[in-house]
Amino acid sequence: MKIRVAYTKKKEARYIAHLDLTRVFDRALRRTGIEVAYSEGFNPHPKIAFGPPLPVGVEGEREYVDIGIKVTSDNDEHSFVDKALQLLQKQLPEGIEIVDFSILPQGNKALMAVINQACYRAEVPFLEPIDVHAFTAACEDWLAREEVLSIRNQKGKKVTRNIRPFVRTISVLSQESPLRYWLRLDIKTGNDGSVRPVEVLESISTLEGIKIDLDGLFIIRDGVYILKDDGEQLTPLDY
Amino acid sequence: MEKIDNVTLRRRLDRILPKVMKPGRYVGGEWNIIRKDWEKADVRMAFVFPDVYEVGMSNLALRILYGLVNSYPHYLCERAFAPWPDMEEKMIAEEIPLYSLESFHPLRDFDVVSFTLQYELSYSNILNVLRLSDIPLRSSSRGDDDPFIFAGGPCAYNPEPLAPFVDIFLLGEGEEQLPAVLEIIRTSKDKGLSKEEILTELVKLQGIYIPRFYDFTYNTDGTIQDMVVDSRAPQVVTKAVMKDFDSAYFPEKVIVPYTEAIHDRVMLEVMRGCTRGCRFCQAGMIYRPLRERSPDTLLEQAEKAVKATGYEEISLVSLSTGDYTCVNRVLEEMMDKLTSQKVSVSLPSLRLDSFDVKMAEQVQKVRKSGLTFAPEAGTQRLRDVINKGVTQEDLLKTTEAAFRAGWSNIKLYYMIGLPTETYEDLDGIIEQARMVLETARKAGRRNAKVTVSASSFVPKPHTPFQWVSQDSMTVLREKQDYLKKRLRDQRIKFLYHDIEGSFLEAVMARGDRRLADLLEWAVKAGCKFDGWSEHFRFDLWQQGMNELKIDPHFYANREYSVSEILPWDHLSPGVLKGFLEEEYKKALAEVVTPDCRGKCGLCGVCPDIAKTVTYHL
Repeated sequence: MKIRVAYTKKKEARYIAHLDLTRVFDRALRRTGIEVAYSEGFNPHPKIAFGPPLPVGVEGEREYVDIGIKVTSDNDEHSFVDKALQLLQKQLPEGIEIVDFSILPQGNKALMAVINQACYRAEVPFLEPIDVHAFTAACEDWLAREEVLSIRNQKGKKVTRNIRPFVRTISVLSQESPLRYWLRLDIKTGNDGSVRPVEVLESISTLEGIKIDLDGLFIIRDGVYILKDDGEQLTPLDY
Repeated sequence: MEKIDNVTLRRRLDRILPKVMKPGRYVGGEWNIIRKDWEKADVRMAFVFPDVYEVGMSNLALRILYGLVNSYPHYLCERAFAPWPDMEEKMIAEEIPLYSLESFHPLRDFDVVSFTLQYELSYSNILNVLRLSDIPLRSSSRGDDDPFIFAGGPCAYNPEPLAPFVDIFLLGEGEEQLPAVLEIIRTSKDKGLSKEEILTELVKLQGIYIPRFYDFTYNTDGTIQDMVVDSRAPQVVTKAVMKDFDSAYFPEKVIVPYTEAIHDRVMLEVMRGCTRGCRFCQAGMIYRPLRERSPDTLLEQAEKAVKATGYEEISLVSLSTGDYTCVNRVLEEMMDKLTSQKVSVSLPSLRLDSFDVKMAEQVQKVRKSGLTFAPEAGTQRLRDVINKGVTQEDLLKTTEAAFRAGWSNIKLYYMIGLPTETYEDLDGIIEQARMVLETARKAGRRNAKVTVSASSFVPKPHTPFQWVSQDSMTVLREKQDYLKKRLRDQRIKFLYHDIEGSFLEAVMARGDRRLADLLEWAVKAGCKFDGWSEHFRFDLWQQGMNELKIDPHFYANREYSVSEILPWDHLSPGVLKGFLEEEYKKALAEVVTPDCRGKCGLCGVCPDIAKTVTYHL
C-alpha cells in the first residue's frame, strides 16, 4: 500500500539535506517495526519518494513523501495507517511532524511528476530603511524584466540560467518595520527545475539596488501544489 | 574574542549556516543525541574529534566514551569536530568560537576538553581547535580557569610532539579510566584544589601520563641524553586495559547522523587485540592481549542496536574479524534475526587465510559490498619479513571463491617501502594483481575489476620496526612510479597515497618534544586538515622546518639505534622492548613468528597486564 504523508521540516531539521531524507525516514521506519516495501534487485532500496527538494535552511510547513508499506493487520486501512504514523512520529527527528496523510489509489503519479507550484514566505531584513512603495516598485521592475540571468554553482561548474520564468508572483505580506518585511513568493517547480527564493532576493538586491541583509533571511515554504491550467490549485493530498 | 553565551551563539549560527557546505554537520540534533542539564553537571567534558564531522562520527571511541560518560549522573559529555575551512572562515568573521553540538556552549566553558588521537596528521587540527576556541595553546599559558586538555587514543603511545599542549594523556582503554579521571576532577573541584594539585592526584592512576612531570636533555647528535622524572610520577607509564572485555560498556543507542558519516552503521566490536603479530602494525602491538566478546553478548547488542538506531547495516569490527572464534555462528544467527528487517552484516577486516565461502555467502544475503584483502607485500619473502603469514595460495583460493560467490570487485592493499624491500617485491604486487584477475576469468567473471592500493610504510613506535628508517621521498616516488607504469590495465585501478603526507606522518610518529614548536608554527601559518590532500600545505611545513632549523629526516629517514633512548621509552603498552628487538632481528632473518594463540611469543602482556580470552563453539 502506498501512502502520502504531509509533514513539517522545521528547527534543526531544516538543515537535513534533501538527499539524506530517504535514509532518515528509512531508519525511523525500521525503528518502528513497520514493514516498508523494498524494490527488487541487486541492491534493494526502500520505496520512499519525496516531493520537490526544500532548500537547506528553509523551513517547510507542508512537505510531502510517498511511502510504500506492507499492511500487516486485518483492521481497516485508514486506522492501520493512522496507528503506523503515530509510531513513526515518535521516531522522527525534532522538527519533522506529520500533519496529514492519505492512502493513494493504485497507479497514482509520483509527487515530482505532478507538483508544479511552491509557495514561500520570507522574512527579509534590509540594511537601510525602505518604504513599501519603493520596495513594491522595485519588485515590479524586477518582474517586468524579460530575462534575469543568475549564476549558480552546480557540481563545481558555474551555470548561468534565466531565473525569471520560475517566479510567478512576489508581494509584500506585512511590514514589521521599515527594516523588516514579510514577503510572499510563488514559484514554479517540478521536474523542469526551480529557483530558490534566496536566489531571487539576491537578484532583486543586485539588479534593483535594494540593500537586503541576505545573511539574515528567514524563509518558510508553506506549501507545494498542483496548479491546474484552469487556475485551480490542489494540494498533493487532494489530487 | 568576547565572551558569548550559548543562546547568542546559536542565533549567530543561523546567519552563516545556509552559506556553508553541509550545514547539518554543525547543528547537532541527531537521533539519540544526549542533552543533559548543563547547570546540574558537576564535570563537563567536551569530546573533540580533530577532523570533520563525517569522519569523527564514524569513530568507535567517540561512540563508546560519549555514551559511557553520559551514563554517569554527575558528568556531561558533548561533542565537537573540526569545522571544514569554509565554516571556520565564517565562524571567525562572525566571532563564533568553536562550540559543542549538544548545547552550543563554547569549548572554553567546559572543565575538560578531550581529544582522540587517531592519526598523526590530525595534530595540526588539535591546535587549530584550541585556537578557534580561544584556549591558550600551551599548558604553561593556561590558568586554573581554563579547561584541562586531555587526550587518548593510539597516538598517545608517543604523543611527544603534543606534550607541551596537553595536560593529561591516557594510555590504553578508557572504559574504566576516563570515569576515574572525571571522578578525581569532580572531588578536587569540590575541595577547591588547583590544577597542579589535581594533576598530582591523577598521575597515580594506571595509564595516566602527565607530560609536564617529565623533562628531556639531548646529546649533541640530537638523540636523547636523559629523561628526568618528577618524584610524583612513575618512571614508566603502563597502559590501562579492560580485563573483562565481554562486560565492558557498549553503547546500543548510538547517535545516528543525518548527514552521512563515512562509517554510517552499527559497529559491534567483536574483539579487542590481535594475535597475528604483523611487525609493521602498531594496533596489533598496543591493543594486546586478544579479548573476544561472547556470541550471546554480540547477538543481544545487535538486536538492541538496530532497534535503537534503525541502521540498515551492522559491521563486525575488530583488527581481524575472520579470526573471531565464533564468527560463523554469530553471522548466521545475526542474519537469521535481521534479514527480514533488511539489515545486512558486513565484515570490514578479513584476513585472506581466515576467509571462507560460507562467510561470504552469509554476508551477501541482503546487499553486496566490496571485498578488501590485505596481502601487504608482493612476495613470500617480504611477507615473512613483516610476519604477514598469508600465502599467495591463500589469496588466489580466496579471490576465486569470492568471484564465484558473486563479487566482481576486489580491492588489494599493499605497502611500499617496507624494510628490505626490493624491486622484485614490487614485481610481485604486479604479478599478484594479474593472477587475481586470472582467478576471476576462471570463475567466469570477465568483467571483474581489481583495485590495487599501495600506501607508504611509516615506522611506528612500539612495533618491531620502530627503529627502521622510512624510505626517502625520492625512493618512495620512484617505487610509486614503477608500479603506476606497470599497472596500466583497464581492469586494474591503482590507488596510492600522497608521499609528503606519509613523510610528515613518519616525522610526527617518531617525533619528540622539540617538534612542538614546529606544530605551533605550522598552525599559526595556516596548516590544518593535513590528511586531506586539498588542504595539505607541505610547502608551509617545509618553511617552518627551515625557519626553526628542524631536520625532519632526523625523525623519518634515520635508522634509530637499538641502544638509544627513544622518545616513547617511558610509555608502555605492556609489550617488552626486548620482544620488539627480537622480532626486529627475526624480521631481518626472514623468520616468522606464529600466531600467539598457538604458541605464546612471550611479548610480556599476558598474564600480568591481562589474559587472552576466546570463546569456543
